[in-house]
Amino acid sequence: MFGYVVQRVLIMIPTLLVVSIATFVIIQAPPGDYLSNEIAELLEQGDKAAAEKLEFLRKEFGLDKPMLEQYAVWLGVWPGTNGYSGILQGDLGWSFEFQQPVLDVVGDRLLLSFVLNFVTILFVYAVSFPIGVYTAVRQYSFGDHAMTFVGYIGLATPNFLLALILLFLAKTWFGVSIGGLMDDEFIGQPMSWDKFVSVMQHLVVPVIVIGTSGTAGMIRRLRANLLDELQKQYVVTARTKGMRPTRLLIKYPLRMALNPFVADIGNLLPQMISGSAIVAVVMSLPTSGPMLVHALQSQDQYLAGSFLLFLSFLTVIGMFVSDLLLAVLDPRIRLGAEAGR
Amino acid sequence: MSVHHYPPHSLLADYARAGVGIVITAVPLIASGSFGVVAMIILAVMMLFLVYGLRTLLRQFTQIDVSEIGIRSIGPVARAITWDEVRKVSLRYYSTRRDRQKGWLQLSVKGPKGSIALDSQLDDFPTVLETIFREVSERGISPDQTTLENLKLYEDNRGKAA
Repeated sequence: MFGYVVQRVLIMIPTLLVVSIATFVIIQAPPGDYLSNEIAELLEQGDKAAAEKLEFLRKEFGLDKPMLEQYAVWLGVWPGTNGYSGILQGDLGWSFEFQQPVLDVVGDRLLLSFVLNFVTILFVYAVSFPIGVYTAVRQYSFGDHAMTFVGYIGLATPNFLLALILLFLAKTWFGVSIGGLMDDEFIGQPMSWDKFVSVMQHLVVPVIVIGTSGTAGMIRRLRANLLDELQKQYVVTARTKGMRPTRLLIKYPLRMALNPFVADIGNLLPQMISGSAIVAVVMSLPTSGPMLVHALQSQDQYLAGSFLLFLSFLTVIGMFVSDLLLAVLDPRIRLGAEAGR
Repeated sequence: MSVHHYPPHSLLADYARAGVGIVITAVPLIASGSFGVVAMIILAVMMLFLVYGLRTLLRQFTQIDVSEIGIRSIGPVARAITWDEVRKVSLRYYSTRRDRQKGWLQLSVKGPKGSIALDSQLDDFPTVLETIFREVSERGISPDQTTLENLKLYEDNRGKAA
């Protein structure tokens, strides 16, 4: 297993490097940058000194340097105006729009995004697992049909629409406003029990909204996989030998059916963060999604680049975790595999 | 009695992995010249490759002796398990490829004071495998389902290859 972990980590490193290069190139690809857009506006307003100001700021932030050098400075392997100060040193760069270090701008939002998405992942697994197993074991029962119907609705309904409906229902039926992730009085305050309770109360609806489609998809996959396993010869043999159904289910088919379930973890983390952007806009959630969209629109390159790199990092880590879990869950030879190199 | 070792070409591949890992983690670490959180993570990964390199070095000087008494590893980390002491035997398959092809097997023999783990890179691995499973089955130790499946598939694959 140790050898497997090392080889898997070895693959991750160049992947992350390539991802960081691709991220930086994509951010730089559109013509101009945040500063030139800003200065263009000033010139339109008749600011004569705007061109000189642009040159000064471009030099100050190193935007006049070749792209490769800018990338090396951003990564922290080449000295910039502040010496070696990049991602490797924990400095994500400067946000032109917020006039603050990127780390300060995204700090709280990343934490809130993490909390929201972590709870959503737990919700997706906690709901889809028992329903997926039930619908497979009780195939074509009333419960199976009902759950399948609800699942299809979950898959077909856009998240932002569900968010609007729940916002309306919460307001008209319960008289509560569920926009945001906490009551206004707690914004900017240090963490306290009351603030924690407020965050938890506000999390309920976003978690349901963001998690619904993922839950529905997961139920369908688990049901299909488990049905495949339950129809296999070894299950029939175990039944005829008198093995108890629950024990049989847990010991073999469920374990095999879990493979795609676990493999999904890799895609789940980035999907949750990037996929929840529209919901966050609709529900006024102070998470990272809306900020990423805005940073991309305004070409705030270090802010957008750091976000994209973070999402890629989550994908790579997610794939790593899912591969490790798969290796533990199912260390079987694949047919045709050339074992014994 | 038969004595087995890891052939040089398989160890070379492992040394290369360890070396590449150490270089690609050391370069940014040295270039960054700082010890922030990110640098600490890179340092931890570098240590992982260092340990992997040390493990490969140990393997180079280790021999596996399989006899009618038991199994023992001879070398810097010596260990011996007699067949009567064996508590568990497991055969696992690992592959870093998405289609899970071209992987390797890991055989683990667990005794009262530790275990001996062997990779399928070991020379004459099929013979080692056959001897170990013959000895443990004679003593009534039944491996888990995954091990039995892997053993069967491995033998089938070898049969087809032959």
